[in-house]
Amino acid sequence: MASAKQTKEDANLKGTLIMVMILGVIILVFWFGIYGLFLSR
Amino acid sequence: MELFNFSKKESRLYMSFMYVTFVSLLVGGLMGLLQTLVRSGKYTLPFNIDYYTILTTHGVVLGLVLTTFFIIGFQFSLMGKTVGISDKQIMWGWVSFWVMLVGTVLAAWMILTGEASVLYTFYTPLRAHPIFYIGLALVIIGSWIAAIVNFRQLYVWKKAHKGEKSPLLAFMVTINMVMWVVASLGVAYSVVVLILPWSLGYVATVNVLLTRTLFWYFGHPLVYFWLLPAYMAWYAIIPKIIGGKLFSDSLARLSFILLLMFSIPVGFHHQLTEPGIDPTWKFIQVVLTFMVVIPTLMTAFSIFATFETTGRNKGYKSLFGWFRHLPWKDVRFLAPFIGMVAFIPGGAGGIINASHQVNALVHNTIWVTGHFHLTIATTVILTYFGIAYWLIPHLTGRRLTPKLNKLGIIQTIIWTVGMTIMSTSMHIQGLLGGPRRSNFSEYAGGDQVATWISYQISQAVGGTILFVGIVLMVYIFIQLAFFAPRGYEEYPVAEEDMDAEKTPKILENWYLWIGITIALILFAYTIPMIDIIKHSPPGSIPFDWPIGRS
Repeated sequence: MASAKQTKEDANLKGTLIMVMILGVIILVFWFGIYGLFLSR
Repeated sequence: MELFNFSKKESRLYMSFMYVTFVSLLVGGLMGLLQTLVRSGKYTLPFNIDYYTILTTHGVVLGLVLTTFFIIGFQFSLMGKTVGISDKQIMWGWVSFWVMLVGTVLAAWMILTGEASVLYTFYTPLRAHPIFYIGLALVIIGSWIAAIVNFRQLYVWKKAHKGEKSPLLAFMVTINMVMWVVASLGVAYSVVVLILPWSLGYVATVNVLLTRTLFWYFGHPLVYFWLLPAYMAWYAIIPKIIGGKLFSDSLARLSFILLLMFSIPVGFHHQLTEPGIDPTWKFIQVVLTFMVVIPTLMTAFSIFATFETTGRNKGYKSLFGWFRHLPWKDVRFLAPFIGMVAFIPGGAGGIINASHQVNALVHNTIWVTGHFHLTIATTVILTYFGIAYWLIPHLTGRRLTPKLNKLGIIQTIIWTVGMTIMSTSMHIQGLLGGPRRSNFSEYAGGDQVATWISYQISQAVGGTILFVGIVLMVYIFIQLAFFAPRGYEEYPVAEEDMDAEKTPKILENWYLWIGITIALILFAYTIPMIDIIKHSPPGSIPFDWPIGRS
């Protein structure tokens, strides 16, 4: 079990972190883009 | 993990649902093509066919029939594979199939004869022929029979495996069917108790707002009923296809539980411009809608993590090197993957639609149509196609040959190109104020209207490309069902890692999760429902003439 834990802790998920962050940014850009349009009308 | 082999009897049942699915795809898709051609302004329908008849056919056949048949057939196969099915359960599976099919035929008969051009939302006070409503009720009743069979399958398995956690896919199917039953109770009540007697002339008036509210109480979870089978594939099947393991059994279960809880008490976000609903309750349901973002982002995280972990285990070291290991030439992966990508703008658009004020900008515009053609007609349908590429040959004892795989890849590319053109132009036209659902019109030549037409032509171009994709998909289906070489196609079910963390028992506490779901529904709907019933204006008499009925 100890070695299993070790493996989990060593798991490299940097790429996943960056991808999820990019996803969040895309959602915000979309939302604020449309919100800007809403304010301008 | 124990997996059951399908008997011939079983396979025949699951395949029957698939036949209806792909016939629906062809019929509904043809209607979609005709719609985009009419709206281009360059084409008129022959034989006096009404635009709203084809619009209703498109919505009902693709949104309700194709999806429900595929989902129930696929879910039966998941249950059969992971927990097994008895002869008696197969018999009840057939009962559910035939009840749904009879209902579908009745509804389709009414729509195609112009007696039910009420669109797939069948809003009152437009009145369709009573047989249309009876048909819809039968489809729902048939699906409930399937749900009861699924619940029974899991129950029998649990009894034989005391203390063991249920197989993940069986758990997911059960969540989806619980959600479906709880949600469809609302629309069943609306159809059977409110609309049917009114359409038969037994009662004079109907509470329009109540029927619309009950529709959307069902209508939003309907979206998740479509989406969850795609999530099942993303969580528990795609990892196997890419040569990996389940990322986290607990995370997958928690995400499905959250989707069950937050899919239903949110229907008001489809009714944000509806007079007669207290804005406070609209706001509360908007907040609950935003809770769905959590399991959705959990799913995105889990998918990326599955890809990355699998790639790293294969020896890819650089930051995004793991991306390269993915089996891009395997259509069983590529089609669902493009579905996942489409869900990024699709999900972002959904958040915009659900936002109270911003909704005013897009409400009832063709932006919304563009949105659900990204979600249901790309994310969901490409995942269903991705499933069909292995499920159909598995059921028919044939193989997905390299040639059919290649055709599948071409089909996926055609779909992606067609939908990108069509959906993008729908989104833009919607932001320019172009309405959804309406027949071609120049609206007496307004300036704003002039900006719409080029987008409608783009939609016709996209729609035509998509129809080519549909014909190709139906061809592939026929090949896989009848002509591909005999052999064995794997039914891919991902396994857990040997060193996976234990799944907490509480995640299988059905009383708790269904209890919270019901509590949230009661919280979100009780007071506004009392309001709607108590303070509604007088009910409406039926209207037949606007849809061409005399």
